[in-house]
Amino acid sequence: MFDTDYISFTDAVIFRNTKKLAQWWRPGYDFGNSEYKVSSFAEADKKLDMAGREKLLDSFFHAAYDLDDMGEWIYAPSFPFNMMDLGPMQKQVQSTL
Amino acid sequence: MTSSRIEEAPTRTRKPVSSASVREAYTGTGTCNMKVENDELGARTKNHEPRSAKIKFDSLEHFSPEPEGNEIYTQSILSTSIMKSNNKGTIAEASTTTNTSQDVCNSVHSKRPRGPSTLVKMAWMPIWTMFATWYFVSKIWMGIVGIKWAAMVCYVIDSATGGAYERMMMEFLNPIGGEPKVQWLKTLSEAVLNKKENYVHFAAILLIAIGDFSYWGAMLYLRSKDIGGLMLPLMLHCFWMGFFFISGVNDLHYVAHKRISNNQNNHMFKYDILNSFCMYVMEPMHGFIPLFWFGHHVKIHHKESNGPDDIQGVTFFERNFFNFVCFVADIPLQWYVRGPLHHVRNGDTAMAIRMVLAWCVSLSVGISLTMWDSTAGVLLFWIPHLTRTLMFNASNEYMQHALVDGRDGKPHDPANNSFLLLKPMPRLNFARGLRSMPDNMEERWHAVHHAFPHAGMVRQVSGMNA
Repeated sequence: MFDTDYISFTDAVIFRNTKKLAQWWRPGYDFGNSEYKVSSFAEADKKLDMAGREKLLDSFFHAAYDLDDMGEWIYAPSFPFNMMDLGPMQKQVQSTL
Repeated sequence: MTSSRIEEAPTRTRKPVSSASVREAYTGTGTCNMKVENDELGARTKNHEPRSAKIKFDSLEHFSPEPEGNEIYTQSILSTSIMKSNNKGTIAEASTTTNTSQDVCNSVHSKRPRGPSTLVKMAWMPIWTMFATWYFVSKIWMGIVGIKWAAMVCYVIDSATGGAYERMMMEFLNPIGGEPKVQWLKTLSEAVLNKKENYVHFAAILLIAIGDFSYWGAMLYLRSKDIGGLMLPLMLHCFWMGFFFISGVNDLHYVAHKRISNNQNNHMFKYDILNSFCMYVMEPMHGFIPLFWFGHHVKIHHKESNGPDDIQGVTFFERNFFNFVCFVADIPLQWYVRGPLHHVRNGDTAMAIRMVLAWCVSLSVGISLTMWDSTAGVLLFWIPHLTRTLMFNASNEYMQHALVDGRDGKPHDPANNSFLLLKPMPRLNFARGLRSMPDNMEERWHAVHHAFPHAGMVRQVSGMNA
């Protein structure tokens, strides 16, 4: 849940502006309903300070799958994915091949 | 472990390796030997079930406090924490240390290229720059030039009619209660729609049908009679881009979502020829390839749900601006090649053939038009198509699932990889007539859309509250 509009959100995501995203982020937002079920992760995220939120949101931009999911794609992604910058997990996986 | 086994590893780089072996490499509990022998997985699995193990990045002290029932994550020397479920189903830390085997693995493979080499990347940069340039140029062309020009024209019309124009458009596109008060519209919509609730979609599609055919007709007339030189067609084009091009997109999308049902009563239109007309004619006139929403969005994206087999998926690569532009470059391949191939792999060859034939016809029209008159071809076909492909659709596909919270082991779950936004889309810059923000022009509840794909935005709010 982010307290912003679609156009601003789009720009922030495309340019990976975690500072803005952290300001807009409302983890555990309950829509004004105190009985609304909030996940334990969201409860924990609520307690993060702004720097912590930025780092956590930044980690949400990392590749989310591993070899179990992606199989050979991790080894030899097709064009133009093979031109992409690698994330920390992909670098680590590459180094273990 | 033998050194010869280690040296075999680079020669097997195109074969999949299980994450178990990589976990062991990460944690130092395994060996290179085991890694090679544990080659049992096929490519891009369809199994989206929560995995018993996952890899989590961070170097974050900030992750604490952790949810109850879980052990605290700790950081490995690789800035990577690996967790796996123990027998009780709770997450326990596997290991945070490394050992000699890891060092050996790393040293053996440290000479492997990590990502594209500098030379390849230098060769790629001109192409990357071309796509990045087109992204920004088309964003400015549609988002600033087109919308501002359309807003100016509609402002003059609205002022000249004393505000009657905007009231009429609001009543047409977004009537109170979702049903028109004007009798002929009510009769027409009841004659063609299966359900009254789809009126807002019908109104938007009717609007863009009138706009698109008028635009094509006027442009062809102007060019065939050589009226207005370049300026008049350009002004017409800019107005269309700022008013009609941005309208009706979600409505064509809902036609495809509803068309997937085997029960014709659930389709948007009572008559299948109208559903087909939207998919085969309106979509390409609006810059898409024919069958985009049905063949790509509904039958691939929603079916695969952002999983590894989703060709629109973005969750399996690092997301930053450089990679975004690479993703933009992939969209034409995705639309023309990967989509049909996906259906062939899944045994739906008929769908693949339909898609390929449809885009062949669409491209033939564009090429023929350009050969007849290049200005008409560029303004009617190529700018709308390239803008839709490389800007509008690329940015939507990318950003709608770019933030992935996979901490609960379900990165494919739309609740974890999509968003809800508290503020509506700013609409004051839109042309008058579109500012009432009809149901089809909002995208702020994308996570809900994946849970209730047939529901328009008004119903999505109630779905979200539920």
